[in-house]
Amino acid sequence: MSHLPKEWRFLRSAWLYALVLTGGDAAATELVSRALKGVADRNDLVGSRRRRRLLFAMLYREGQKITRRDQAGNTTNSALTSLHRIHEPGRSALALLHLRLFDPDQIAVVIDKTEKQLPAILATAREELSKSGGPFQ
Amino acid sequence: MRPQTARRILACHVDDPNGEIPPAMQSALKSLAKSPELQADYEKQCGIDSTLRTAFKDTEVPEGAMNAFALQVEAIPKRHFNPRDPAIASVIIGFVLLVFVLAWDFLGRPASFPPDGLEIAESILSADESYLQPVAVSPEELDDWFVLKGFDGFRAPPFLIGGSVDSAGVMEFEKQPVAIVGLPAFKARLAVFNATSWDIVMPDNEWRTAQVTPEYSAALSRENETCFLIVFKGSEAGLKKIIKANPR
Repeated sequence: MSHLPKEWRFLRSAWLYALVLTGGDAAATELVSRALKGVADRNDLVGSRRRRRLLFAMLYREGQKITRRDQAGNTTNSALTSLHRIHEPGRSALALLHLRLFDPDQIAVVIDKTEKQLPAILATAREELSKSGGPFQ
Repeated sequence: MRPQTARRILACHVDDPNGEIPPAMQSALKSLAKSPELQADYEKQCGIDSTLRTAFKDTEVPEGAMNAFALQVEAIPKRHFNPRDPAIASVIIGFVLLVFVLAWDFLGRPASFPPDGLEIAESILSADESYLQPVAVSPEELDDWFVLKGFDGFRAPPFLIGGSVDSAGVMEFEKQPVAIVGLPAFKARLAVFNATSWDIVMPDNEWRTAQVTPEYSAALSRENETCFLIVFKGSEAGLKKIIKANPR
């Protein structure tokens, strides 16, 4: 049984986000683990909010380098698989919006866009999902 | 609210059954009734969001992954106060320096020679001596002599005037009169002036000394409204000796 300190409980959400980025359980664990190491190595981070935002920004950056899978990994959830397959930055914006860790302005920071661009990015992402069929039809 | 604005607000919102609806979102929801197109789009959005919400909720994070993260977090060194930490050491050194500089400034300012006094001493040294006249009056009569010259309220420390006075005069500095007497016994000149005309802040009956030029030094004292300035040909140390030998 894991006992994460309160300020690190967001790692559960980080893993879910990494699952959307990688499309597989093991790859998600590996991605979060690498980002966590990167954050741990930074001894200039004092606030837990800043640490959390940096970790998600690192996940976003690394997630863009991962090729999308045609087949879902161990996860059986087809909705998340559909989300995995859509384009960035909409994929990350929509995932982060649902994880409820950040306000819209902070989501825009993580995905390196402006808050003004966010509604259009989210609308495009939802449009892509609805066209992807499956659970979104 | 304009439909365009409402659309932007609605796009960034995900229904939270347990959460409060922000005021902006409430206004956006009200405007749905005015625009059937917006209403249809929002319903479509709610359907997608509902599916995603369920998907995120139902997905279990593997226990192994959480254990691995917990171990990683445990291994992160806790930040303790360590004076040997370069960052902490820099802050401590900076703070000590700041306190030192402030203390130096705070303690040094009252003990320093008033800048206006220094300016008067410099002007005495640089002025031609045409304002000085040989005097043959006794030190007690100097007050009357200065009244005749237009300077009221001349007085001086007895140890200075007790000796001989060879010359006297009134010079003007920044349109204020300064009474000056030559003191041959001390190889010095004494200037007497009103303290309120200049910014001379110092406790009464204390002497402050300074080296004005390499050849001349000065000592300044204040007694009520009157300032006494000795301009001495010699070092500051020599002037200090004279003052020390003649305490008030």
